[in-house]
Parts: sequence; C-alpha cells; structure tokens
Amino acid sequence: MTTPVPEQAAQALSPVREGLLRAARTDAEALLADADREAAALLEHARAEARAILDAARRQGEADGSDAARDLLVRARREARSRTLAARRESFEEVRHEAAERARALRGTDGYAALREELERRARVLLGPAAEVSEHADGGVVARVPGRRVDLSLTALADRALDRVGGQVLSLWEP
Amino acid sequence: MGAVTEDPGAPRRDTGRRPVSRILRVTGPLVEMEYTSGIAMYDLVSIGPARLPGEIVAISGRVVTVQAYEYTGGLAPGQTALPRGRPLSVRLGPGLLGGIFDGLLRPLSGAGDWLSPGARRHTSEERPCSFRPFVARGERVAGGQALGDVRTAGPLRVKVLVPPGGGGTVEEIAGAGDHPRDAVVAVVGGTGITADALWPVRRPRPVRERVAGREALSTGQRVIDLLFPVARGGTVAVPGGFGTGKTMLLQQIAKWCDADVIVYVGCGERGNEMADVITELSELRDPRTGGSLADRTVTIANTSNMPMMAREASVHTGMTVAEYFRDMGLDVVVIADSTSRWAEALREFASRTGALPAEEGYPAGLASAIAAFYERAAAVTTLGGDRGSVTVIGAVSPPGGDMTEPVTAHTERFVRCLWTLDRDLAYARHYPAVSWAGSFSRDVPVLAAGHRTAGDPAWSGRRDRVGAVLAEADRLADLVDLIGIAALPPRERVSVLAGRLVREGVLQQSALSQRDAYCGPEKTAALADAVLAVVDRCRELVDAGVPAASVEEIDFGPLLRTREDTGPHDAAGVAERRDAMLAGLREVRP
Amino acid sequence: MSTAGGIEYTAVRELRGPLAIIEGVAGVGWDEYAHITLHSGERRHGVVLDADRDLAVVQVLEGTAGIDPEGVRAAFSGSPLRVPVGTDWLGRVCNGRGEPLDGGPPVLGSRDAEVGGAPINPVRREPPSEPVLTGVGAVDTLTTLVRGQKLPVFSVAGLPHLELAAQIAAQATAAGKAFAVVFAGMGLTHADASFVRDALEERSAAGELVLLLNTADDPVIERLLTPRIALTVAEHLAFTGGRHVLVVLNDMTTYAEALREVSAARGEIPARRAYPGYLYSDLASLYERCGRIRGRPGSVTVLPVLTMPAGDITHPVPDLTGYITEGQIVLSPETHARGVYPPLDALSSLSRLMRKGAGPGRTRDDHLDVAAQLLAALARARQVRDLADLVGQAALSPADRRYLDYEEAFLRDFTDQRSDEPRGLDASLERGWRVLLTLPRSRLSMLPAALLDAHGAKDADALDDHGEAPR
Repeated sequence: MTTPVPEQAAQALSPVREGLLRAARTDAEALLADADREAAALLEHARAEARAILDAARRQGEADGSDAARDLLVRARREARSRTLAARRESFEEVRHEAAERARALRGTDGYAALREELERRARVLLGPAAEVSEHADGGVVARVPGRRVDLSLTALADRALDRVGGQVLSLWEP
Repeated sequence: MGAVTEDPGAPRRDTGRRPVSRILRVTGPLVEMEYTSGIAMYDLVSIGPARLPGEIVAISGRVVTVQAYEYTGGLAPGQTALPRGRPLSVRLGPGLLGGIFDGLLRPLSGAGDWLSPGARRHTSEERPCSFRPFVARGERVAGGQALGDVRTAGPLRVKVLVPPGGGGTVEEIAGAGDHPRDAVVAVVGGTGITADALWPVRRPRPVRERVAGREALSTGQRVIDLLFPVARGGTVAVPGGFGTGKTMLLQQIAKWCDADVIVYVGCGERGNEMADVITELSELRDPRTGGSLADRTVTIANTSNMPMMAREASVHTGMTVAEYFRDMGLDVVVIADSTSRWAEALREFASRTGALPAEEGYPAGLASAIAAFYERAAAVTTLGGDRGSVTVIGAVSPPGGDMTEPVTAHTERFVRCLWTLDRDLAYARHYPAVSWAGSFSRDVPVLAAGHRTAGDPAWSGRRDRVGAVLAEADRLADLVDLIGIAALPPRERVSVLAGRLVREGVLQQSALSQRDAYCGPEKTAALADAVLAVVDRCRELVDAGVPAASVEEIDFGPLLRTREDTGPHDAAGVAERRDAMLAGLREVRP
Repeated sequence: MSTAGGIEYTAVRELRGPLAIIEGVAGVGWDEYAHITLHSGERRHGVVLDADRDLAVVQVLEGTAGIDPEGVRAAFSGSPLRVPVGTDWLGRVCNGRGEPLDGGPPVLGSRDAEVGGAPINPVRREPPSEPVLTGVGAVDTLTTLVRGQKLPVFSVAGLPHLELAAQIAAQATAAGKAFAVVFAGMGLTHADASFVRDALEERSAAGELVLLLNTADDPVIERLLTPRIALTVAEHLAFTGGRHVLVVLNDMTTYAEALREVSAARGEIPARRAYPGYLYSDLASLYERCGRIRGRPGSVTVLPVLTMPAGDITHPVPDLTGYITEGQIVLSPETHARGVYPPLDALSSLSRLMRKGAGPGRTRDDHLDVAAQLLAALARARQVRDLADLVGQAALSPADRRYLDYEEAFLRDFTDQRSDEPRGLDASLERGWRVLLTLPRSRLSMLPAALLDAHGAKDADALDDHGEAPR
C-alpha cells in the first residue's frame, strides 16, 4: 500500500519542490541548448558527408552509395538524438540530486526537531508502538519491527515526492 | 431497467440485515471470504470497495469461495464482502427490447467508453410504463396468466404475467394509461406485481408442458430452409473454423428469421463485430412490423476482452430473457456466438477451483453443462395456456478446425440440427459456407408433415432431389479430378453441371445484396424448382444427342443471377426467368 | 512508475522457483506490482499471484536467482502495474518494461494508467472505416489495413516477417493525419533488435515512434508486460492525444510461449499443447484494445506478427489469433523461395474490414474491383498450375498458359518491392492494372467496362498479335 507522506512532512518539503524545479529549469535550459546545438552540428556534418558519398557514388556509377549514405545519416541521427536524451537525463538526475541535497539540508533548520518527531509518530502509526525507530544518517528516521520496515529518511521522502510530481519534471525539456 | 446486482428493492429470502463478511484470500477471480450466517450456494456477493459482483461457488467450514465476475486486481484480504442473499438474477421487463447489455444484463448504453470493474449505475431513461389491463378486480388468476400488457419502445407490446407459482384473486388492478416504471400494476393474492420481474438466471422458467415443434423457423437463408430446416423450439449448432463466415450467417438469421424476439448473445467475440451488429440492427427495418429490427432484439454483448466469468453467465442470462418472452406466447430465437468461448470459461473456472480435468482440460461435467443449456430450448404451452417457443442457435468454434474436440463433439450429440461451415467452401467464396455433406436436421420428417398441411406438399420431394443432385455432383467431382471431365459419360457431365447450378443458383446467397440477403420461403421453393427444371431439360438434351460440351457452354448466367435479380418474395419473377431459360434451351438442337 | 511509499516487508518465508512468499503483509492486493530490493541494493520487480490472509505470493520478474531471504525488502505499489502515459514516449527506445535503453531519463508523464487496460464498451465503438496505408503495395491493394482493425501477419521461421513489420512501421501513414507507431518487440535476438532500431531510426527521430524492445535474454515474464505497456501508451496517444496509432507486436508466438512458461511455473492445468486454457482470453485482452471510439479522435490499429511453429496454422497461437483478429496476412515460404519480397500468400490473406476502409470515398473508386480481380485471376492461375503439374505445360490451352504468365507477372511486377521502398497506393493499383492487362478482356469480368476501356484492355486475339503476354 502507498502510504501518504505525513502532512507536516509534506509541508516541510514543499518549498524544496517548488524552488527545485525553478532552479533546475535554468540549469537545464543551458544544458539542453548545448546538446541541441551539438546535435544539429552533428547532423549537418553527416548530411554533408552523405552528399559527398552520394556524389562520389554517382560519379563512379555505383549502386550502393545510397545505402552507405543512408547508414551514415541513420548513425548521425541516432548520435544526435542520444546526445539530447543524455542531456535530459543529466538534468533529470541533477533535479533528483538537488532534491536530496535540499532535503538533507532540512536537518540544519529550526523546524527539523518537529519534523523528525512527526516522522517518528508516523512510523509508529505504520508499524505500531513497538517499532524500533532510529535516526537515518541523512536525516529523518528508519523504523523496524520484525518482518517490516519503514524508511522515512529525508532523502527517501524527497525521492518519493519527486516520483509523485514526475510529470512536472517534463517541463524541463518540453516547450 | 437491467441487472439487479445493485438493486436494493430486489426480493430476498429473508428481510433481516445481512452481516458483512471479510475477504481472506484473492487469487485471480477466486475470492475466499469468511462464512457469515444466512448465505447459500450460488448466492450473489458484492466484493470489495468497487462492489465487484461474484457468485458463491463453495462453502467449506468457515470459508466461502466466491467467483468474481470481474477483474479483481488490487482486491486485498481484509476488505469487506457483502452477501446479497439471493442468487444471480436479472430483471425482466419491457425495457429489454432494443437494449444492449453485458453478460449480467447490466445496460451498456449508459456506461462509459471503457468498462472498469465494479457495480455499474443504471442510467437508462425511465420511461413511464403505458399499461392496458386484461383482467378485472375480483377475477381469479393463475401463475403465468397475463394481467395486462405494456408498450415497449417498438411495435411489440409486452405482457405482465402473474409470476410462476403465484396466483389468486385480483385484489387491485391499475387502469389503462401511464404509470411510473416501478409502479405496482396489480395486487394478486396479497402480492404486488410490477411490469418488471426478477428471475434467477440459472433456473429455467416453468411451463405447463413441452410440445413437439411442428412449424419451421423460416431463416430466410435458402440452404437452411431448403435442406436443414429447424423447427421452432429446436436446437442448432453451427461449427466452423475462423474465416468460415459463422458470425455473418448468424447475423443474417438474427436479421431475417421470422421470430418475434431475437436474443443475440455475443459471447467472447470481436468488439468491432459487435459494434457492427448493433449499428446494422438499428438501421434495418423489420419487414413484418415496419419497426427497427433492433426493437425486437435484445443484445447481450460480452466481447472476448470483457470479463471471462461474466461470459459464463451470459448464455444463461440470454436464455432467461428468451424464456421470459416465450412465456407471453412469443416465438423467440437465442443466438449464442460462440458457445465454445462459454465452454472455455467453464474450463478456466474448473481449473482455478482445482477440479479434475477431463479431455483437454475441460471439466468432466462439460457434456452435461452443454446438454442442460440446449435443453432450455423448447416449444411449449405456457402456464398461461399460450403457445411459445425458444429456438437456440449456438455457434461452435472448434480449435484448429478440429471437429473431434470436446465442445464440438458433445454439442453434436445434443442438438437437433447441425449446420457445419466448411473451410473449403468459404475459401472458394461460397457463402453461406454450410456444408451439405457435413450438416443434418433431425427435424426434417416432422417439418415435412408441417409443410404438407401448410400448403407446400412438394417441400419434401424438392429437398430430396436437391440433396441427391448435390451428393451425385460431389461423388463425380472426385472422379473428375482424377480423369478429367471429358472422360465422363454425357449424363454424368450433366450431373456435374447440375451440382454447379444448384450451388451457385440456389445455395449461394449474398449477404451484401439487398434482394438476396433475405429469401422468402416461396422464392426459395421457386428457385430450387427452376434450377431442377433446367437440369431436367439439360438431361433431355444430352439424351436426345446434344453433345455434353455444348450443354456446358450454354450461358446459364440469367438463371444464376435470378436470386439477385428478383425480390425476396418474388416467386413469380423467378418462374418468369425459369420459363425464359427453358425457352432458350428449347432452341438448342442436336 | 510510482515506487512504494511506506512499508517494506522483510520476512520472506519461502523462495521457490520464480516465487517469493512474503509473510506478515497487510492490505496487499492481488496482481499488485512490487518492488524488491536485495541486500546488495539491486532492485527487482514482482507481481502478486496470491494474496492469502497475511501472505503474499510474489512472482519475481527477474527470477529469484541470487536472492538470500535475509536482507530482502519488498514494497508494494498499491495497485497493478501502472505506467506514465503521454507524448514523452514518442521518440524513445525502452526495454520491455518501459525503462530507457536510449541513454535518456525515465519516461515521464503527467498521468499514468494501468497497463492491463479496461475493455472498450462495445456500444461506444465506432465501426472502422478509413485505411492505414502501409506503403507495401500488395498489402495496401489486397488486404487493406483499416484504422481500428487488428490484422495479424502469419509467418514461419526464416521468412522476412520482421523486415515486413519494420517496413510497415516505418512507412505507414493515415492520409496526413497525426500518426504514430508503437513497436513492441518480444524475445528478439540482439541482432533483430538492432535491425529494428536501424530500420525505424527515421521515424523515431521524427518523434512518431515508441520502441519497446524485450530481447531473448530478458526475463520471460517481462514479455507479458511489453505488449500491455505498448497498448496502454498507444491508447493514450490515440484516444487522448488524437493520433492514429499503429501497434506492431512482434512476435506473439514468443509472447504465448512466455505465457505458457509462466502458467506452468504457477502450476496451472494446461489445455491444448500445454498452453493455458485462458490463452484465448489473454490474446483477446491484447488484440481487442484496438478500435475507434465514438466522439474521440484517433484510433488504435494492431498488427501482431506471429510465426506458426512448423508452419502449422492450426497451432493454438495462430488459430486463436485468427478467431479474434479481423483477417490475416499470410506469408508463404514458396513465394519467398522464388525471391519475391514481401512473400505474401495472397489467396490465404484477407482483411475482413477492407470493404469498409477501401474503395470509393476511402481509397480509389476502382480499388475493390481491382483487388477482387487480381485475386480471382490468381486463384485461376493456381488451378492452372496444379493442372500443369498433372498434365504438363504443353497440354494446356493457350488461354490457360496465359494464366501462368499472369502469376509470374503478379509476383514480379505487382508484389515484389524493395524493403526500403514506400510505394503509393496509386502506383500499386497501376501495377495491378498492368498485370491484369496481360489477360484478355473476357477474363476480367469483375472490372467495369468503362474502366477496361480506359485502361485499354485487349481481346484475346489482340493480345496474341503481340505475342505472349509481356513478362
């Protein structure tokens, strides 16, 4: 069963989410624009090369020149595409990383004690009062009873929050 | 109108509040729940938060096993289940005609674009019921007797019957005019009666007596009406591999046969095909009433991707609807396409419950289940004293075209007629691809007698002659393949020709042609007579010394086109063309 | 794909074959999707087969190899598998579970949907009525694919069905309307997978393709998810996004074998040839997701490819497929042996919906007549060839010999096409006419006289004047 993030925790995380996408968008724009430029250059180069191959083939009356030129273009297109996609992945991972960082940073804030208390309460709701609750190295808690475990570490919470807003990350590369 | 799965007003065995049960285990469509008091085998249960309908199939100690009719993904132990206190029942009433329902008789017209599991709301419009009483207060009535009738969307009026087993003095009866849909229109022996009535789908509705069917169901398909007729109240199986035109033939019968009501059960078949049937039926006019053909049709659509378990129920649902109309003294045809998909649902269910498999994984009870299904067909005297009938036509889809597989083999034993569809005929674009060699009708003797009294004494002789021509042509065809047509004696060459003329001029029928799609009995007789007369003349020609090759070269086109050139009842037109053809043949000289 | 929040279960009572039995669970539903984390941090996936009180029997997609019950954590997602849907899929190449193979980020969507889908209400279906043109002349002319149809390709091992599927996926169009292709490869060899990627590169770059590749060495159960993910993505591109979507499923025999394997692992009672008794329903739950819906733009057309084991059309997979689909495109080893591509067995092939999607107002006025005449003449040619095998060519009449020439022309001038050559319908029909005109006019009775005149059909004598029919 999906367990909703406790309300208070969600509230504590919400500035993380908002600021995050704003900042990421600026970073991503530059990154993606670079990738697009590279990809375009790559394709242009491949087209020129393909034209040359075709011209040469035509001069020599070869039939298979077009195949070679097509292969070249296919490869170039794939290469260009994979650069764009790699850039997207990079910006996606950057968001994820940044989210974890910001969540970790909550540990140093004034509200952390209340947040941690809320998480611990939540853990006991999920696993019962007997749950053994311990602090996670990244902040937040991990709770255990025999056979069950709940990870309410701040990084895990950030991850889950990001999963839920996955669609919004699309705005990084969609017009 | 529609199913009663969520109907709070449905009658129950007792009136006490039913305890809620808890789900213990979910494996696919099988759900185990805790025993609670007041439940019984085959009772309906609403399972989980989505209130999936299900049926109790086993009770063992404190554990009750329920077979869900829909996809149970996400259903978890610990959730609640609500026993409904009655078996799976459907609500029968005037609103059925023209309607389209799923296998549990829940209306599809008001449902969304996709059918998600769970209780469906009834959104069909609540037309008032326009009632006309037949009896007066104080009269004594018996179970099955008509109290009055109500109007439907189409031209048919539907009777309101005293429920089977009921009866007594009419204490109250509504006056003629409009009443709310769910109004009590009569009180008989202390029981209020509405236009709609509940009935459990697995229990056949009682009749006064079963009678022998003597009257043929006219299907409008020549090969059937001529060679393999079915009596009203009879049973037919239509086995055919894929691509043999099974669904097309059944649709033609649904459109053109002379029944009062058609119940079309699309059981595990294609969605696009179902959409087609629905569209066409609403566009076509019923030649007998002038209304839309949809108005005499109840469509139960359970396509192949709709829940498997509801498919099992759908044939019983269809049969119950048919019996309901039969009990008003109507002739009803149930078309089930395809019973093999129903049998597969039985198999899947058996396999999930761990029943010992018999042939090909089917349960050992397969044969009796098939027999019981076809046994619900009958010509009857109803409790009210009327004559009514339910004729069942069931498609069979033999895997790999293997006619020895269990469903086909068992079905063949239980039906009165078999219309076998032949892949070679279909391949040669001979439609309907009913094989004359592989089909039978055990109703022929009684129907021959019926035709004799109904004014067509030649029916039986005509059938025999057409059959003989086809058999002889088939026998010779093998020979021709070996030695060539030229090696045959002239008379036999005419026999080969005769086979072709009967096949192309009589048996083939174009479902796409306006004039040929339906063929009245008189035109069927006239066409057969015309072709036989031409064949006789050809024989005379070769006997008189005309070379067989010259006879074969005669242009028989006008004769072969007669079926498409004349209207569905135009026997005179057929006779005219026959005479023209015969006149032409008289010109041929040795 | 949403990951689990909250509770992870750590008590694994039993590991057996691909199954893990987890105890102490609460509220876990049947068919729920699970995320399993091994002690090493490796992540696997599973599906709940049996939810029995506080036990959950989980089938692990990647298998249980290397799992030590100590240190395993299983989290349940709260619902059957869901995938994000939307246009982010376009231009992506993913594995059979929808995870990127193209170096990009995970596919994201603002909405997600259950991969099992829900049946389309038959009352809401719009009967199919417009063509998808594949650019393969013989297919477009003789077995026109109609938007919303399911039309399988029946093939046997060794024939170029993958080439044909890829060609159709690369070339198909819907009269200039927004179009997309979802190609689901199941159990492909790596060579085949890379062939498909190459062949469809252009379409992918144009943002009109979703490619899901489950390779032969991927987990078997994943193969059961691949077509479902493909169809879920397609449904949303079509019925929400307004595109006409062609879904190519290659190869369904491999899919059915995976189903059989999984069924056996679950200890189910087998039916024909050890396939599970629900094979028909299972295939239908995939194929029937095609169609059009009243009041919604777009359509889903399904082109499943299947290899008939030992060429046997009565084998359960082609047989049950044939009962569900609306016709079939059959490939013939004999035609292949004659060096013709695509090696279509035109006489066994049939598109049941063609009449609704081709002809006047749909394709070209003469389309249906030309197709019917091409096939009728081919059927006659086949008879003549059988006869020639018996009596020898020399014994044939001149009229019959012309049919042998016709068959040759049918294969060489009409059917044969390069696998990278898109051929327009007009060009294909004109080729059809050219081939038909090798026959005398009297043999072309299915074509209207006016058209015969316009195309200059000749009588038998006139043909003879020019010697044998042109090759």
